[in-house]
Amino acid sequence: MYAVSKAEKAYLLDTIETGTRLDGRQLFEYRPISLQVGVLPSASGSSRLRLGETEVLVGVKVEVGDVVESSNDNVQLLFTVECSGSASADFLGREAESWSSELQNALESAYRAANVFDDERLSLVPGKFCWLFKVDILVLDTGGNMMDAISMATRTALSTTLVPRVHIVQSEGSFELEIDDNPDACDTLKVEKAPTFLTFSLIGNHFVLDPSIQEETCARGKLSVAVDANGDICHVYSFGLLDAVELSRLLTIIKKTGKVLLNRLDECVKNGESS
Amino acid sequence: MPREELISPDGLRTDGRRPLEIRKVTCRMGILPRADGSCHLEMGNTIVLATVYGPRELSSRQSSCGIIRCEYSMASFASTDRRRGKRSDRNSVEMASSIKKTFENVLLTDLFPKSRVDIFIQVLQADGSERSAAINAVTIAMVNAGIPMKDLIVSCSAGYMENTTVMDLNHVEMITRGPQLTLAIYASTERMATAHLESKASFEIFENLIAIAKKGCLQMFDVMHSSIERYSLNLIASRDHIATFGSRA
Repeated sequence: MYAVSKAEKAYLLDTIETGTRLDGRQLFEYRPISLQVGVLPSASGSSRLRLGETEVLVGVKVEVGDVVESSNDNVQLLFTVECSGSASADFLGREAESWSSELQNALESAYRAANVFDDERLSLVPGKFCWLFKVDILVLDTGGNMMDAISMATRTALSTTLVPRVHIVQSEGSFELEIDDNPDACDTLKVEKAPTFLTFSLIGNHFVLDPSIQEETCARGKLSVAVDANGDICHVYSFGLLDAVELSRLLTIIKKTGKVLLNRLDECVKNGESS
Repeated sequence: MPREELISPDGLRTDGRRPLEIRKVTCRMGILPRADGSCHLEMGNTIVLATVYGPRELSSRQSSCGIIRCEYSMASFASTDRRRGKRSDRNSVEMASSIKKTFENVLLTDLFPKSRVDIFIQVLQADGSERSAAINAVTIAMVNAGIPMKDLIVSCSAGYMENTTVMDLNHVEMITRGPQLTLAIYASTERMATAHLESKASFEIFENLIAIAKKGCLQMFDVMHSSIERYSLNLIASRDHIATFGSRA
C-alpha cells in the first residue's frame, strides 16, 4: 500500500491551501494524457492510456451472445477490471477484489444510464441474439485516479471497435447468423453518448481534480461523477463530507471540463494521435 | 481437412520468414516510472511487459541471501479467443516457477540478504514463444532495475517441422506440437541456463534444435544489447546535460 509520512502530508495540505499542487498543477487541472489506439491486433478495439503515472490498457472483444432476462437491448456490455501483477503490489487479496468490482460497477451503471448503444444498426434478432462487447481493462500502473483513466480508455477503445456486418438468415423459424465474407465489411461503433468520469478528492478544505496517488492517500473525501457530451450526469458516487453548495459549484466545473475532455478525446481518435 | 503447410515450397514460413530468422524485436526500458525496472518487449506479435521491484525489505522470513518471487499472468485479450487468465492456473504457475529458477542462478542474491526481488510478467499478446519473450523481458527489466547479475540471460525457441529446423516459433508453429525447444543461455559464456523441450525428439534432432536455438539466442542478444546500450547512453547524455546546467548556474 502506498504510504505518505506525516511531514509529506502536512506539506501537501499546505501547498493545496495556497491553490497549487505538488506537481505544479492548478486545483482543477488534469495531468498530461497520452493515448494510443489499435495497440492489440487480436482485439476488435483497443487503447492504451497514460494519465500521469497511471497506465491502463483496454481490449474489446466482440461476440454474438444469447439475450438474457428477456431484455430488448441490442448490446450487452461486460466490463472486467484486472490489475496486472506489477500494479497489484499495492493491493493484495480482498482489497484488490473490492477495488476492481467498485470500478466495474461504476462503469457498468454509467454506461447503462447513458444508454450508449441505442443504435438500430446494431440490432440482431431482438429477444434472441444480441451483441456482446467484452471490455477487458488491464491496469498496468496505479498512479492515482484510476476511475477517470479507465473510463477514458474504455471510451476510446469502444470508439475504435470494429463490428463485423452480419446477415440474418431465417429458415424454418430458426435464425442463423452469417458474417460477411469481406473482412473489411465492418462498422465502427458510435460512442458519442458514452460518458467519462471526473474525479475529485477532498483534501483539507479543497477539492482537487484528477488526484495523484499521494493526494488520494491524504484525501478525506472523494467525488466521482460521470458526464456525457451533453453535460448530463450519468453516475455519481461520493464519500466523505460534502455540502450541497459545494456540490453544485463542482458540478458546473464538471460540466465544462467534461465537455472539453470528451471533445479532445474524440479529436485525438479522429486524428490518430496522442495529446 | 488438409493440413496447413508450414513451410512453403520456396522454404518460407507462414509469416514469410526464412527458417533461421527471428521476428522483429523491439524493446523499451523503464516505461513504468513507479517500478524499479520495467521492460516492454515485442517479438513480432508477442508482447510482454516485465516489471521488477527490489531489492526490497523482506517482511516475514529472514534469510541470509535475497529471495526472488515471480508472478506470470496472461491478459484476457492476449490470444485470439478471449480467456479469463488467472494467476493461479497451472500453466502460469509453472512458467513463473521456471523463470524464477532461471534467474535465481544468475542474480547475485548474496549481495542483498534479508531482502527480496519481485518479478511480474504480464503477457499482453500471445503469438508464440511467450516463455522466451518473458525471459528476455525480465533480463532487460533487471538491467533497468540495476540488480547485480553474473551475466545476461537470453532466450530463443526452436522447432522441428516438415524436415526443417526453424527458430523463434510463432503461434501457428507452436500449436503443431512438434518437437520444440525453448533455450536460455548466458550471453557471454554461451552456457545453457535452461532448456525446455516439448514432445519427443530423436537425439540428432535435439542436438540440431539446441544449435539453432543457441544461434537464435545470440541474434536476440544483439538486439537486446544494442537497445540497452542506447538507453544507457541516453541516460549518460541527460546526466551530462544536467551537470553542465548545474555548473553554469
